[in-house]
Amino acid sequence: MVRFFFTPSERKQAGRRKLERLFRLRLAGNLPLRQREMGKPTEYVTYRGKAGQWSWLLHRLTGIGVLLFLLVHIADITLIGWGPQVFDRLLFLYRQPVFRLGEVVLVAAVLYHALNGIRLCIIDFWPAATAIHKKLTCAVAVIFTVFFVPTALYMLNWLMK
Amino acid sequence: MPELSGSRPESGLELYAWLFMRLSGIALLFLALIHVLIMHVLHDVTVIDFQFVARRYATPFWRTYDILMLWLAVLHGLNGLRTIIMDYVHSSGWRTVWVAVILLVGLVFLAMGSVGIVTFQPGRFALR
Repeated sequence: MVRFFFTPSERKQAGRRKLERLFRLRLAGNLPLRQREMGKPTEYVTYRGKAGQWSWLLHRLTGIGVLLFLLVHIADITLIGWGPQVFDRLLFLYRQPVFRLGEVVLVAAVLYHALNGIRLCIIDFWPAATAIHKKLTCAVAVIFTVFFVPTALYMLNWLMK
Repeated sequence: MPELSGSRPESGLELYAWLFMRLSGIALLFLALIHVLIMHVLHDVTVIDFQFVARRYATPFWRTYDILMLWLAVLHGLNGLRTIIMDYVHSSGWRTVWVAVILLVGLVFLAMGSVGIVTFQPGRFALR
């Protein structure tokens, strides 16, 4: 039977389940155990909100962000075929402060996606590495910071002038 | 059954897609990071203009580099998008629609980028 009316607590639970699905999360104390057992089994990997959760989310978000920029970037580079007038006018747009700040965010996204991708490859091709997965996650964070901070400062040099 | 992220598909096209993501990722690690370093960090948009690209594309090296990067990046990115969409869309009808949209976007942008890189002839325009 299809139900159209739900109690507020049922609606709240449904909302939480949606969140769990969207972020591959297992929210603590979401449902009493018996009800959870009655529900459908989760057929996706969940991360229970620890470091893996954030790596997973950041990898997806940076991936989507870089992909969107990539498509825009292909479109703008194609304009070079229309000659210097068209192309240099377009670059004027990219010289605006908003875009130059966005470029720093882009570099951060590419760098994070690359470093976390190395971590994923290590785990995937060398399963024994799961034993040191916390160290690998830390290494990604450390290497990211070491490379990104000087790069960002160098890229934002124009702000100081 | 939805794909399990981080777990390897057993066989078929999905296994090759899984392998492609990792191999193209490793290739892009060098291609994209060097590109970002040269074109977005060492030379910023105040230096780059039509002439800059014209000088860069005078030899076939950077054209080959850019074509290779274009194809790997677009395929890697769109296949990643497909993985994400398959995580949240489960009806086979909508899955087909999304795959068709992704294929179309891929075809259009790969064609656009490839034509742009291959047919670029700075000599056709009078340089200032």
